[in-house]
Amino acid sequence: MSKYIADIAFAVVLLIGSIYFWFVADALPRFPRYQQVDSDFWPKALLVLIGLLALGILYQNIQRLLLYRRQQQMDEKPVVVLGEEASGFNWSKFLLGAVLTVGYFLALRYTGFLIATAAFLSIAVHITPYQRWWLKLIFPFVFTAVVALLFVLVLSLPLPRGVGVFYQFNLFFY
Amino acid sequence: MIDGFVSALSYMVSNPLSFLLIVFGMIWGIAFGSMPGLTGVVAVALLIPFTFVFGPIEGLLLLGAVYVGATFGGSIAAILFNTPGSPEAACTSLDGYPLAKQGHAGKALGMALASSALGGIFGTIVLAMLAPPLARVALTFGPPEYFALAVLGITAIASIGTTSVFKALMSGALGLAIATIGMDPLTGTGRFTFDVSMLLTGVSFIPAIIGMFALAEVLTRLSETRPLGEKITAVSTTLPKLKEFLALKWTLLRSAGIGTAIGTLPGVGATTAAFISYSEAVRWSKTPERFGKGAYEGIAAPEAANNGAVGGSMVPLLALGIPGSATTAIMIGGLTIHGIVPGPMLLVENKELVYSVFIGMLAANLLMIFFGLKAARYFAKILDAPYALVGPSIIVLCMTGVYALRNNIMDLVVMLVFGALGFILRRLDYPIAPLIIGLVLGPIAEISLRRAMLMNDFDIVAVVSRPITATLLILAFASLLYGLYGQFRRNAELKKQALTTSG
Repeated sequence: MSKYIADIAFAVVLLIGSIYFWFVADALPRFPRYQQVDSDFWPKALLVLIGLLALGILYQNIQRLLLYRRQQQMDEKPVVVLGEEASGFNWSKFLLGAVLTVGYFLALRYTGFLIATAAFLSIAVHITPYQRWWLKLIFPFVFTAVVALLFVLVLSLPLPRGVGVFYQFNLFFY
Repeated sequence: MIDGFVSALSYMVSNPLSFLLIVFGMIWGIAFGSMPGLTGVVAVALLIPFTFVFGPIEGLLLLGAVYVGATFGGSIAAILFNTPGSPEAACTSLDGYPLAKQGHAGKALGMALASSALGGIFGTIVLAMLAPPLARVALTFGPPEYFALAVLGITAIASIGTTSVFKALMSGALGLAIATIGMDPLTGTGRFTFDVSMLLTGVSFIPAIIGMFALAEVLTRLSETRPLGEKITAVSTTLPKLKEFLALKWTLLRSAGIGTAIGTLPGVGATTAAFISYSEAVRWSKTPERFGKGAYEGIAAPEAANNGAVGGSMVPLLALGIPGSATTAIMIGGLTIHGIVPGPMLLVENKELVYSVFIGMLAANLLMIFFGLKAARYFAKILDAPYALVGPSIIVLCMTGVYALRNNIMDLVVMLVFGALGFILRRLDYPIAPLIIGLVLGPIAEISLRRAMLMNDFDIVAVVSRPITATLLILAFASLLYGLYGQFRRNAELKKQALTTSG
């Protein structure tokens, strides 16, 4: 059921968003030369389409939600099956992964590539269920070194150097 | 045409790096294709920042080879693990896995390999024959025709092969809307920038697609438990004997033809091609009862079709500048890095590049036979690689690749935002491909429509009633009706089922 509620909530967000952005587009400067095809013409056309589609999705999901509830009230196995029930999705794992990714981004910005990547990979491989401890230990450092070599020596592409003392540290390597 | 081939071939021969990149791209593609959850789209998206280092020809050769390799790669996991590495290989598992369980895994892989190569070569030949004349026709196109083409691109991908037309259309519309962020191409007014100077140039396309496809995919995959089927080990690929292969000649030719034709339609990709040619193979077979139990035709048909669709999907990209699939939409990013605008002028201004792509794709398909034969067992081992190591490594490549593009940390913010959006859309069953195609086609659709309106004194009827424009718009409308009809039929069946259950 939460799937339908999430779907309905997202459609409402899109509907409200389309109305809000309509007013933003309406406030754009006008140019007499372009009359009916001014800066707001195309965005407004798309926002109307998004609003209408959001209404359609809303209607569909409310109907499905009602059908699902009716089936539940009749104490029967619902014909409308929710995708999430079978997917084996682990929200805590996802949140951990998302937090780690954002943390990696921040670390890249402040500490540069080498420290951030080695730390990110070390944490990431340690929190995932994988048995070979020696590979978990070596892999983050080997992979960091390989990527750094590939980017700096082979491809001559820039890598983040971080700020302050980290910047000075990274200058030793690339 | 011949002079184009000769000049492209001489360029490639004088730059051996081209061939090395084809080999690398194909191996990279097979590796990604063979791993469930890592599709060809992710493989291409991840490599785009690296193409910046090379010239446009080398860059496109690399991406083309990845596309070819990834389409075949999906069949390895489908045959050995009953888990398709990519959606287009889903059909292959229907007969491939039963064959593997009967002890014919090597031969099943060999059939998939030979059929993929044949389909791929067929598709590339059609691409080489069709793209130049189509581009010549497209040179006569004006803004109204380009607007109609963009509309057809969006509606086709939103209507065919999706479970919810509304959601797919919404996804496409969101892509078109996101593409309006930044400076208005006609008036120069900043739109939806909210005084953020970074947004004036619009949403950076490559960080957006890497976030949406690669980052969102990896985070989703890391959080899921996907059980693999019973694993078939000790595999050595054996090509089918010529006699066995010739026995399937009609199935192969029909499927390669279907795949290529379907691939040329904007938005309809390899997966649809594989399913249609599989059902056609069943329909034409003298022994349809063998399908699903281990028929070699059941491998040959989808594999020839999905690889044929690769060449087909490159036709609208190279001739019209309209992506035929999500992967080709991403390839547009690879071209724009080098300041190249895909479209009919490409064959006039960058003949060498286009013909190099034809040669590169042919070479990739031929090389695939060699690598597939020698290395399928090693590619199968990729599935042993723990996602605990692979997933975080891909996140590192996403971050560093996007950063390296413009040496700009803000591009990473764009990637993270689009990664989050991609995740939400995925969880709510919104297809991602229409959004990416919308993002690519948005500027084309907008500027074409507005220019067409200006040229015709704001008379919309005059714009849409031009013969080619009207035909394309009718096709767009028909594809939409087809998609809606399919959805209503599914909903009606669901309701009927519910009523029968509740008595």
